[in-house]
Amino acid sequence: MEILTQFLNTTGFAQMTWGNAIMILIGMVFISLAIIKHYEPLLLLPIGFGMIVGNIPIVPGMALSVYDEGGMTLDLGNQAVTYNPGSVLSYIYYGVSQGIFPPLIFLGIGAMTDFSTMMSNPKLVLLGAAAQVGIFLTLIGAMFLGFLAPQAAAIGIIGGADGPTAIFLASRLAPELLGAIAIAAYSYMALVPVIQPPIMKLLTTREERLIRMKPPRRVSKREKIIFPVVAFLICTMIAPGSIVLIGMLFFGNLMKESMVTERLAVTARTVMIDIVTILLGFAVGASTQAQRFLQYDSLLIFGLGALSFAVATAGGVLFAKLMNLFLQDKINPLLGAAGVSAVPDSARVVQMVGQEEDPHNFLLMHAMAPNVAGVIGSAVAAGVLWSVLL
Amino acid sequence: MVPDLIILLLAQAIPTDPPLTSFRWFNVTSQNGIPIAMLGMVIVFSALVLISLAITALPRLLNAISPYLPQVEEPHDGPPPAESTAGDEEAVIAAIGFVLHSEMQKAMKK
Repeated sequence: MEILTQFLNTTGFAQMTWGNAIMILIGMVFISLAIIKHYEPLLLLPIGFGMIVGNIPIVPGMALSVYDEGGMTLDLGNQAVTYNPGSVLSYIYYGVSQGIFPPLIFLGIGAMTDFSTMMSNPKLVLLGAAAQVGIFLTLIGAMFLGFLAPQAAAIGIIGGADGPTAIFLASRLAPELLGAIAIAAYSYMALVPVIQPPIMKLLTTREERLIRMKPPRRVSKREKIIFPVVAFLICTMIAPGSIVLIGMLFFGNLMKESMVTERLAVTARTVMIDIVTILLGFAVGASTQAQRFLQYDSLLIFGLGALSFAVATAGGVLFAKLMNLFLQDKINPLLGAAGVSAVPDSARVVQMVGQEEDPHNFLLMHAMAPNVAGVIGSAVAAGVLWSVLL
Repeated sequence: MVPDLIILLLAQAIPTDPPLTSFRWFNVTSQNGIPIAMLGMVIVFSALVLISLAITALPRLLNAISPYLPQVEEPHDGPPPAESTAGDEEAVIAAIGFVLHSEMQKAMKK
């Protein structure tokens, strides 16, 4: 009977807290959004299930959570060193906490990205830069709310709308906020179709939304091959902190465009990125234990993340309108919203909002230009913040 | 002695662990929030402006040095061969008919 009582005390039912129950419920909401609404299912489903896994109460003394790391301990009595194996989840989470997974995801993104739309219309690159204003204004906002500078930088990068970049910077500057920042970044990326359209419509007139873009010029194979090397050199000479992310991004792209490493490029953009996405999503979800996640700071981070995203969208749209004051061939200001680097969702949103006004206006291809420029911009911003605040 | 004194004075002047109070503009100024944000924005813009200039200049540069560069096989992304249409079928039938008619005429003459 005593053994039975002891066993019952170790079950999840006995140790469940309200916090764990709430987090499990949030995990289920994520899974539902992925399956029913198709909001970023590749991310929300692993994260959602990871949240459920991470919030099952743990038997005391058993290494089960992502935070149960292994290591050597010295027993002074016996003068012996013993090795305590960590939990399986902690080894998977190692790729998140040490910033290993984000660069690998960037390698896959590089191997699947076609920069030719951006190269055919270089002025649209500036929209990718303008949208990064969300990162830096949120940095100030987070400092105002009492966060330390490195924490504020890690929160601000949510506005880059780039999950891997946000995780990378948070793991370097504010590992204690990693779970909340990762969940906020991916949540807002999934909610791009909900957050962006009202801001885009509010800041543009119907006439502006009706502007049609000129067809892009044809980009030669030689340009596509040279571009990743040139762009890498420019970015990393200016912001060496971005070497890891930008380096992997353009290395992946060079593998794709060179056409002599097709096998490697295919592996990077299919199998490899899928495996890393599964591990990253699941580990990030499992790191959201209620005891660590349900805090006042997490609420602030979610609020600041939403602000960052909104400011980034508005920054891109307003900068496109500013550019139109000086351009003869006007650009559709909706394209500015694609400057946040949620690839390709924000470009799809631009297409959707544009077609609400004119069903024959195809903006998707043009929106991919600021979209991929935004990926570069947010990685450079992360590199800058890392170098300045380390 | 003098450098030591300068270092000591600087160390006292720079707040290493600023006493942060919630919801205060002091939090931003004491951590150099505005300069960091402005510097960051300028660097991001500089990087992307340079990339923009580079991709504007790239085709011109390549055109200028193209005589000295080896040929690169461009992917064949021209329009696909036109699919056969009903009109084509009629033309084929007419051609077959013409050949049959010619051959039968020849056979009858023999």
